[in-house]
Amino acid sequence: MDLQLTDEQRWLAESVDELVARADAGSVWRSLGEFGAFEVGGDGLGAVELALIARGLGARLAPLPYADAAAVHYALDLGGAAVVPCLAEPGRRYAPAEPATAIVDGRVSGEKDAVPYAAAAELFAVPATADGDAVLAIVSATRTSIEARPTLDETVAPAHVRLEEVEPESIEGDAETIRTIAAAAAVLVSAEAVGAAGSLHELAREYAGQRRQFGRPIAGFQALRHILADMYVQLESAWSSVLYAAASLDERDADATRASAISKAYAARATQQVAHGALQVFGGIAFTAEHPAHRHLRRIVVRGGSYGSARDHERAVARSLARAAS
Amino acid sequence: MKLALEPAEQLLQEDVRAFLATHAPDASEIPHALDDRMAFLREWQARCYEAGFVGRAWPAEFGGGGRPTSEQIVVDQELAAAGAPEFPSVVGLDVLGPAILAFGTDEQRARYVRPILAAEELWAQGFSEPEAGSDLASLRTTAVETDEGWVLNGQKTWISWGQFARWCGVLARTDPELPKHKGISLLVVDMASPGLEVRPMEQITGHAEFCELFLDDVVVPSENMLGGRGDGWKIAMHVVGHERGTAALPRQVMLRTWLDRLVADAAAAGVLADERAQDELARALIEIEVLRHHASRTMAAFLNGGAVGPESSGVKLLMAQAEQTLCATALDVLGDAGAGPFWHERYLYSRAASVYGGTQQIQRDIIANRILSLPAE
Ligand SMILES: Cc1cc2nc3c(=O)[nH]c(=O)nc-3n(C[C@H](O)[C@H](O)[C@H](O)COP(=O)(O)OP(=O)(O)OC[C@H]3O[C@@H](n4cnc5c(N)ncnc54)[C@H](O)[C@@H]3O)c2cc1C
Repeated sequence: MDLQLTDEQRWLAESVDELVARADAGSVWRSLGEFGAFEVGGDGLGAVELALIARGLGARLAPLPYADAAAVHYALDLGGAAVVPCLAEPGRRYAPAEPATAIVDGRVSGEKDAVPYAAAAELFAVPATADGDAVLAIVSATRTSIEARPTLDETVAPAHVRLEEVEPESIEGDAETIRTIAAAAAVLVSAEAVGAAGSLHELAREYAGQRRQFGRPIAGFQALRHILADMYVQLESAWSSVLYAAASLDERDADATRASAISKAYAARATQQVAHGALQVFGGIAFTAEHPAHRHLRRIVVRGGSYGSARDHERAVARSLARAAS
Repeated sequence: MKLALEPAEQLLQEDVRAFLATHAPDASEIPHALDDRMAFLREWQARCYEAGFVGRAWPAEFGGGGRPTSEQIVVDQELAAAGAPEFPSVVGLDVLGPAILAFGTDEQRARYVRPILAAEELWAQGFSEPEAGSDLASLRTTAVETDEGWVLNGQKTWISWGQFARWCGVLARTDPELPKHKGISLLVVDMASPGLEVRPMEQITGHAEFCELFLDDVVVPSENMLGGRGDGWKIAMHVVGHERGTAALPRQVMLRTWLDRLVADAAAAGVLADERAQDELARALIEIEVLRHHASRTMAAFLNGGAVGPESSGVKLLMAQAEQTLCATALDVLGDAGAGPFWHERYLYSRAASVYGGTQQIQRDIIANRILSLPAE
């Protein structure tokens, strides 16, 4: 098993980083499209490359539904649209391919929960049941009613989406398509969170070298050195599991669904621990609104909850363990 | 990036499986008494060596297989997956053998390497002392040069399998006037030497798997120095990195077999229907899987010809954590009585995982110093 990046993959990561650093907020999305960041399959990008891009965007806290849209484009060709998957439903167990949302007489009705960047989306990818089978309805965002919900991260702003007899733009794929999108979404938002945690770790590392107390840099205190070391291990191991899950999607590994659940469950908790560690290292300064730490923390927590929380994915792994034994 | 095995590795995997299907000893065959068990396990390793499954990546001219390291990892993972017993040469295979290959003379390689692979001679690692554990470089055992060779005096402790070893790699101070890391050398000590006493110590598991070693004017021939005079520290750091990093891949497979056993035990005990038990098992599985992912990624550089670097400290931390979580979960899910001797022993042993091979705190220090380059304390 070789989880080393190739030179092309390294180059891709650097190029995207430069692109995001240069472009202004309004034009990043278009630049990503021109760069080919949505061109999936064939000679284009795989989940590993999408994860590299998502990590780069996460590192700069870019307020874009890239991980979300890329997960859909990974399974379907929708020409680079700003499409966001609607995978959770209010009050129900997280099970994207078993939706209560239904298609009756060709029209979609139901409720979706925790839809990231709902207000910025052009299209929603909506799992729905039609004649007993799960299908994916592509729905124009303007035909739904979007209700903002309280959130820690107003940039992601996960919202409630209500569909009342909406005529879909198209019907694409089946339960398998939904599972692929759900797995890719879990992996790509994890990559984004790893990016946000990585840049925060770097900020905390630098700060620890500069801030002095008791006549020396606080990085000299072993209690903090060990927090920073643990953060490093959490960060790197989370990234390893994201890469593994992405590669298993690309190789159509039989275990890809479980690998994505494992990486989401692990990365959500690990990146949150990194953020908590960073806030401890910063001390009081991190509690000023202008300091960036809280924006990383918010992004990490909210992305940790996108497309199934750590608990949801642990439950999925737990159920499959129990099933296999009985 | 590639998860699937290469065709050659797949063939090898099938070979190992076929071999194990006919030769792997059943757990009930392994004698309980430690002496009989060692004899049995030496025979087992010898059989695996003949089949080409031990030292597969070591140089062919010294008895190894001369194949890529990735092949040995395939073999080790298959052995672990089948629940095959661990080789008694573990210290020779993981620590001293690699040191001899990297730092020894050709005469030393020709003399020592093949018997390690064939389990004809077992080795021990004589590094720790009563007053020098984490601060290994403060060790006090002395080696003084005389006409007959080096004369050693001092005490070593926690020497795993010392009572079965034919040779011990002893770190001793050869140049007390030099700074503490510089004056240390590594000597190959014959465990049958006059003046050397081995005292097995009972571990918390009830087995006497490690020993104290007393050295009283023990004479070691001059040619038994590994590397040059003063190279001891460099060699020690090289081999512990090795031990930390490469052991993780077979280890995670073994942990996986234990987890499978725990799930079966939980089902048999009727507690698997409990969602809280399921969740605990899932969290243990996740840690083992992430260990696999992370060890595979960090070790890829090494398999492609690079050196094992400080990244291995991260792997070591995750490895200890995964083992400790799993064994604590077993106790929690099955309860004390339900866990029984198998899990009792593993639980107790798991507590050593964050101590041996450099403690958890020392691994964090290595990361802080060498990876994060935090300014010195
Ligand atoms: C099962 C087992 C098998 C072993 N086998 C061998 C063997 O075959 N050969 C061999 O040579 N050794 C062996 N060891 C010894 C092992 O390497 C040492 O136990 C280990 O290096 C720690 O040393 P110590 O026990 O003296 O603990 P100490 O160094 O005294 O540590 C005690 C505590 O203090 C902490 N500590 C120490 N220094 C620092 C620091 N700078 N900062 C923060 N905390 C610190 C440690 O982390 C630990 O928590 C074995 C140990 C075990 C448990």
